[in-house]
Amino acid sequence: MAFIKKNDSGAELKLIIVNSKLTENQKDLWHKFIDTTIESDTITILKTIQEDNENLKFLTTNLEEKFKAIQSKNVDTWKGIVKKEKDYIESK
Amino acid sequence: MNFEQNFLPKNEIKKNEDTTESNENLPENSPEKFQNEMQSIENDELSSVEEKSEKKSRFKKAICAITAGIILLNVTPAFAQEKGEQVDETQKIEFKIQKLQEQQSELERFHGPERFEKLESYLDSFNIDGLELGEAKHKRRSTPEQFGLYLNGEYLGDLFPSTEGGFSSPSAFTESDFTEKISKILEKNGISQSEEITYTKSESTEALDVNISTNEKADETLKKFGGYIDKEKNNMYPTSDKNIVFGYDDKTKEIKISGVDTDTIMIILTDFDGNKEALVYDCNAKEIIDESF
Repeated sequence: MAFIKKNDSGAELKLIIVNSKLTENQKDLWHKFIDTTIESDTITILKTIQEDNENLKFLTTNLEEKFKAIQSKNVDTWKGIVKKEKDYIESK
Repeated sequence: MNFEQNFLPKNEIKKNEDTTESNENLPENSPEKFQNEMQSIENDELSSVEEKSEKKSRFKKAICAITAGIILLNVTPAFAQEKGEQVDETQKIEFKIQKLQEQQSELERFHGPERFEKLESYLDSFNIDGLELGEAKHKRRSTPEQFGLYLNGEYLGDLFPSTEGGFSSPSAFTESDFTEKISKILEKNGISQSEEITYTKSESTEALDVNISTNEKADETLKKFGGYIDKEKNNMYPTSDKNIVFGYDDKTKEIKISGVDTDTIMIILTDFDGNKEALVYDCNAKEIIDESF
């Protein structure tokens, strides 16, 4: 749409993804995610990854797992993902 | 068609709608219901995590942002096509609007409901459907009033109050300062202030009554859809009998067109029984659902 502006944070995050050691499939998923997600969320994710590179690893796994869970509509899988998130946040 | 979920314009969506309550109205096994449930599970689980540090708090937000983005991604055309589901552009817009509403709740708490409503009323004077305040993208320190301007959930620009005389620290917007800044952002983004036009037809007349204030750009857009405005008669007429886009028939009472100056145009038809149907087109009057999905 004409009024959609490409944001800097999205480009910055893409750059980090491209230069990372993630697999091509993971990079592809991140790119699609960044193109879709809203500006404020991209900024939050960018800051989190810039803060600690380990966060990229966790968020990538989180992204993949959530994507699969939401497509398969598997609530139990989702609960497992959320439990892992909670444990990770509490460990920080 | 789930009109409420997919097509209702932003200003008609209930603000602060409770997910659980809205879920009750969703059909069993619908993707929306499942996604709402998943978000609810995550929110419940993470609500017990203490945010002792800024890092922890930010990470929690990032996790929720991943969920929000995944849900949004799940309704994008490419993935919907893979799954064989039919979705439309408005679902994406609506999700972005929901995220914007969350920001607005925060802003309202921060500035106080009275002040925030006042600023929103200035915004309403532009009469652009979907134009909303949200968080500023490039936040400034020591500027209490700062906002992002959004159209249908899409970021357009930031609003900061002017510094008086260049010395004192900017604190709050005056009405003229606020509206002037909005106008500049709209102009920069090529958005006209008369974006929405509504046609109402009474049962007895053959033509549609037209808001005569519609601009030339709107006239151009209408022609692409097979309609034209007779300004002397204050009516809109179809250019041919085959004009189905405007629902120019006995059933249609009202036609609301949003986004006449943007690439995406949403047309909402209301019949005399109050039933609504929404159609989304690109600027060349091609239906987006047919073309892209």
